[in-house]
Amino acid sequence: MAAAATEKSREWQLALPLTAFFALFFVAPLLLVIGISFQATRRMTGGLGLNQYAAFLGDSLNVEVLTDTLLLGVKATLLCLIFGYPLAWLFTRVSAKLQSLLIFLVILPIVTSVVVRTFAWIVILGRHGMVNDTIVALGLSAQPLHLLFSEAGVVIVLTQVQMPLMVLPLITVLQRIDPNLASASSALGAGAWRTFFKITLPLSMPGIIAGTILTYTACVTAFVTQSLIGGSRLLYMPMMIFQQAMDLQNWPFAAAVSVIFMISVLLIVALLVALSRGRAARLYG
Amino acid sequence: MTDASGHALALEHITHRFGDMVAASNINLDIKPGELVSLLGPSGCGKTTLLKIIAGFLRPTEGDVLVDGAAITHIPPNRRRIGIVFQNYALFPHMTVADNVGYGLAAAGRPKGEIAATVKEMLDVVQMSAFGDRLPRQLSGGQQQRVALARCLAIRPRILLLDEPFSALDKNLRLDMQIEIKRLQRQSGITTVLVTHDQEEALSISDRIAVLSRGILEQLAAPSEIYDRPRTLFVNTFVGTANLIEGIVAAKTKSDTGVRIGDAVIDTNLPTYLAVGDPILLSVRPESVRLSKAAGGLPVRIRAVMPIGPSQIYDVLLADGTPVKVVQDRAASAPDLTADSDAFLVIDGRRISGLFTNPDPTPGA
Amino acid sequence: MPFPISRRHLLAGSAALAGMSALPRGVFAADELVAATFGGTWANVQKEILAPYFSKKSGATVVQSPMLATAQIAKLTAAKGGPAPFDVAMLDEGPALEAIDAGLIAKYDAAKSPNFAGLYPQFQGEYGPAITMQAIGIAYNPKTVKTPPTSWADLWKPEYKGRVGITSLASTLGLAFLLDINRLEGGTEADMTPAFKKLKTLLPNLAAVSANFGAHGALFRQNEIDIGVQNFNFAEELKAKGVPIEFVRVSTGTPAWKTTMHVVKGALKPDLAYAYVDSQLAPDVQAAMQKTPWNVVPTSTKVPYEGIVASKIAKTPDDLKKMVFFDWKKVNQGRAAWTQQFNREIRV
Repeated sequence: MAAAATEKSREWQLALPLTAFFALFFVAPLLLVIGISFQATRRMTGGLGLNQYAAFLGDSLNVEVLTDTLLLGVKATLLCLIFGYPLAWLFTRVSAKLQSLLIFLVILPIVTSVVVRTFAWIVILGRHGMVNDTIVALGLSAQPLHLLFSEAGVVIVLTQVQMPLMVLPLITVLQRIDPNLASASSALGAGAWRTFFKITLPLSMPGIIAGTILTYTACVTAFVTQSLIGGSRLLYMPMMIFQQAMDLQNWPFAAAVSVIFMISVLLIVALLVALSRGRAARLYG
Repeated sequence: MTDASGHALALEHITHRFGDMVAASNINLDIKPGELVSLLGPSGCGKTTLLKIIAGFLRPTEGDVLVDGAAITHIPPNRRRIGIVFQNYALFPHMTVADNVGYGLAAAGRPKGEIAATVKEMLDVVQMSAFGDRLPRQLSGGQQQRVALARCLAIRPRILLLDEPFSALDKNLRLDMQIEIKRLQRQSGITTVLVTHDQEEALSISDRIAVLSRGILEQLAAPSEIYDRPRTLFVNTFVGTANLIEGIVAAKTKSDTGVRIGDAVIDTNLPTYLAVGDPILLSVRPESVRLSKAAGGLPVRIRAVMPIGPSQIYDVLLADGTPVKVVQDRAASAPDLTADSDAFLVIDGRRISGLFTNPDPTPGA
Repeated sequence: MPFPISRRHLLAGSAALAGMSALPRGVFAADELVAATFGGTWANVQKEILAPYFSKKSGATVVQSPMLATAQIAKLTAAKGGPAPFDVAMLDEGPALEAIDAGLIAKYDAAKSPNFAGLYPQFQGEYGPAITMQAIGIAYNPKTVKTPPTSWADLWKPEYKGRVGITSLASTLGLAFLLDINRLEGGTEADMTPAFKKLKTLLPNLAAVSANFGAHGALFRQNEIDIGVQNFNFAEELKAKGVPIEFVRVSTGTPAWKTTMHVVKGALKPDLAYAYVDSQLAPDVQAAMQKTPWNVVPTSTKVPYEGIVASKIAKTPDDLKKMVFFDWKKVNQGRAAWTQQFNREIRV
């Protein structure tokens, strides 16, 4: 008994390496960024203040870029959900063989390099790309559409690239739902839609929220996709941070922009987590 | 309680295949209004397939399901008004007990007031009135089952299907619930099909039992008939305990058969289509045979004696080594029937449960 | 100078951003120099010509690390006070001034660099030699643009609606273009209003404003843009690779700037660093680099202008002096504000 208790009391030590790793490579740089954001001047000569934050909020362009970025995430995440949910639902209903094929297709974006993927999309969405060639050939439009360097293009690519982050949690949750529940609903006289909206959808809410959090945070911070597909005429927060930190060497301002961006995203995530807590409490106690 | 009584259910030439596997083979079942029929068999016998076909979750490869003589085979489950209680109850975990019970009525678009009244009535019937605001996970297994039953009955189904309803309950609760369900079923007169692999459960609760094996309907009959007069060797061994004793047809008439076992000939009142001299299997229940120290019958050696409540169970060996179980009242048993002693097994030819073709006769028996 | 983006560059950039560059450089093999270079053409030409020459001469090896000029500055800044992450920096004029201002660059000791004296005087910088001149003009697709453009004004022609490409101010290319427009519109480095006013009228013609030079080059290849601002070296390299592209200088004077090499402050291998920079100044090296497809404009008096460099950029050293130059000190002061205004003006 005593030995067991001792062993138990030492188990926390297993978490030490990870804790140290986090402290060194996540918490420390984060604190550093927060610290730098309070530097009053670009040269970081020591004076502290909220100058950088005031500078950010003082220019409406910055605030617009922030809302644009947060909205971009909403659009791409919604699209991921709309396309991803049926895919995940289908996954739970097909043979094991088809399941492996589906899962392969779903995780394909993860295993491809982000730059390769993005350049492939540039080719596909371009003025003379596959999509536009098809649209023009079919006579749907006389002119090639502006897909590249447009928000629509960024949303399309983000949806493809971040899809796994939505689909995988959804699959996990949908697979956990007892198939008898849908049968029971049906036997009680409910049609397919009622069964979906009253049973399947509410029960898959934890997966929707988990997928939404993952997808959303990935979409709003997708620097490569945003800048390469969007070009310079669409400015989002990650590019703005990069511009300030790298092009202009204005680290204090870049740090302040980062902190503001991080807090905005955290607030949204916190909201979603609160939602899921309420849901999960009801479902699983 | 409901006006759901009095619907007849029939399965006509139902065949169902999953790929090459035949899950149901030309099943014909005629269930009378108000009857409680059990589908009994080991796992993989096709009983769950039949239940799903009745509920509409599966469409049979061939054949029809009829309610009151009208085919419903092509009607989707949500239009069949056939209620089902699942083995795991399948209560909606995110809804309260009351919402669960009212679900079918809400789906049917009933007014709120009517739903509330019916929910109250149903919860009263299953004695769960105090639990309307609870969530399913806050209930015990038995309580969940009552709710599942109430939810199902609330839509006043024409047929009630119960899928292994007692298997998840512990033993004490199981008997209570069996009595309860039997009472509710009697009271409402609702035609009920119960799927089970538990022969005791089937024997105690059913009006009739359909014994299934490998997709084939072996026998459909009242419990006493299934037990006393099993039509096939499978039914004989699956339902109750059977002693199978190898013999030879010694003599036969239209209605009777004489079976020679060792040196003795037992005159039974069952017919056989086997010819005189053919090997045969004689089946007799443990409670239908008697052990005696007095000469007469088949000589046996007692291997073990086990007192079980009011009864005594004997494990004995025939001369050829065939094991036989004997159950008799402790009061009626001689005290000198002890383990490792010799005795005689008396078989009453009028109380045997069946005569079957011996599929695998021991040479020289 | 801008350069084609690659994952490595992005990683380098984000690593610097995350402060990872603050980690000290590992212990390298005794005779291994680490030199920064630009990506694309520069990484290729220096790997093929400079590295072997340097190794043969010094007996040491060099690791050439492609990095944006700004990324080099970020890394050096982060490592300030500790061992430098690389020994040799390669910078355009603007960033070079910034790096010197920030005290990241050591003064260049001509005594340690025999080839330094062989450069034209204007290329003998106090903090390091200029290793080439970069010039910009208009590149166009001869298949879709039948009349060769002659001036920036051609980019404003209505027929090029939705077909023109420029880059953001993150690259010297984009910056130099904006500065030259400003000059022609009567502005100065202290007042960029005319440039932004003019830029606004270009918006209908813009197909793309690339975030970086790599994306810009790819747009020509994919026929995403038919005409646009381009750098002489990159245009000629694309053409040599078979891309339908022609480079022309604009009639109003060719904007140009120096690209310089520096021994960084706190270099771990200063002697090798000097040997490396000196190798880049060697007549043999510069002559080899002037050949097609590189067309690197030589800075050494001992290398006569030849080939495409001679036909398109300069036949004599005086031709170089006639190009248009900007006050990079003032540019550096205004860049942050211009970047924000550029963001605002071009925003969709």
